Amino acid sequence: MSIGGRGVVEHLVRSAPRATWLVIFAAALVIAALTALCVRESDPEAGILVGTCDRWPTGCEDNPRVSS
Amino acid sequence: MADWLRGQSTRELLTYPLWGYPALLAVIPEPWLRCVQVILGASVVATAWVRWRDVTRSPGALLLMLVGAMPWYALCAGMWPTGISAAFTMLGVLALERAVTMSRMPIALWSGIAFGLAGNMRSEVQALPAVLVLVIWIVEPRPRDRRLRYGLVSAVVAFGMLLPWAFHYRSHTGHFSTTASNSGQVAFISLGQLPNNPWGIKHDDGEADRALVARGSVSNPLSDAGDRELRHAFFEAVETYPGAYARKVLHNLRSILMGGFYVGSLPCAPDAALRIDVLRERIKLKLGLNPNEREIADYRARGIWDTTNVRIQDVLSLMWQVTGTGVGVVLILLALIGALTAVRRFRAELTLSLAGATIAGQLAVCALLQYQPRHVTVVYLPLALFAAEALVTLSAFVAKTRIGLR
Repeated sequence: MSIGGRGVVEHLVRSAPRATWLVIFAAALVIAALTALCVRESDPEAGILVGTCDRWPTGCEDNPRVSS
Repeated sequence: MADWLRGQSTRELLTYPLWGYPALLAVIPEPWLRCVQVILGASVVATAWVRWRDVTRSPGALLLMLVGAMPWYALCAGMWPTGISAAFTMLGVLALERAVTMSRMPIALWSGIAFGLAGNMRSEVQALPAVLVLVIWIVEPRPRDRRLRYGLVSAVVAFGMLLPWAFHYRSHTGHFSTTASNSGQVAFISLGQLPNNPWGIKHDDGEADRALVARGSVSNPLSDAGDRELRHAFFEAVETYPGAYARKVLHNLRSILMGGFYVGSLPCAPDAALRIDVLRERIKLKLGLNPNEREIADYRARGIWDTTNVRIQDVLSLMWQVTGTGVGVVLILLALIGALTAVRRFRAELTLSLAGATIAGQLAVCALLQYQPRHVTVVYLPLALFAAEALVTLSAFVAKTRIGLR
């Protein structure tokens, strides 16, 4: 991290909890909102697992991905 | 369940799923609920930073991993109970640590409420408050009775918030249960995770139905009666072949280390999902990473296994997931190193011991029952805390080695 970056981190470590909470919340919210807009839900199998939900209809009616 | 809660439909099965998330779906329109989940996820990140910034030895790395927690945000943005339940669980853990260290009873109450909300959405988090009480009892050096009471208040409030469901469950089944009636099914079918298992079970929800029919039962696997029968069948199966069960647990532990995080997928054409899945299964098969044999057989039978052409958007979408997996693997390994090197600080730093216990509890459920990447992403934030610790340890090790080489 650059010296400027270090300064920001130090400031965020030392500043009042409420102020730093707001700064981090705002930054996190921007990235979270972008993630929510750009990324769509994939089937939970999107990794390396074996999914289960699509095979028993009664378990998944509120959302096809709600299972176990 | 959401329609039943709205009074818009009748429903036979009222003990699965847990009613917490359907209740939210019943009262909050989906786009707004998604917004609430995203805001909650971001607020947990900010709260974690405020609570952990004095504990971590690597604030810069922790800050980056918390603010840039895309797997966490992707989990929270999903329309499922997993993300919002994880957010409430983390709020409960953070509040509990604050209540104990600052001797603040109202915060202990808030912690219990957060745990209670989480427990009304996902069964596996219900035991966590009790586990954390045990951790406080073990690590807290000051007079235990005074410190412990904050943990006990949190756990009692959390349990109290599960009682309405327990009474609802009893009114429909005659038995008390704080959990949903699907644990037997999950436990039973998870025995089929490995091919050629001695029980001959397939990892498929339909398998639970078949098992009940074979045992002469007509119960729905997700009903209370089916749940009891399947739990009995699970324990019977484990007793018969404990070695095979141990192999399955080891397999899940390996998957936890190798599977990374859930990150969702990038938008692409509607028919792309199938092409991406074929591509994914091909890669999984090549790497030996838990290929879905049922799906591969299905793709072969449909003639699309060898013939599906992959487009650039498909590759990009898959790259996103692979990156999530790769970054996740590194972060999880770092967290493991960080946790091992921080064990000596567990007694002095309640934050670390509570975070460690939260990770251990969640990963134990994944290992003993069923693994999915999103179940690991649930503990992304405490994993980031330990990964930051590992970076300090590793850089100190590298510096020492350099000095030794000079």
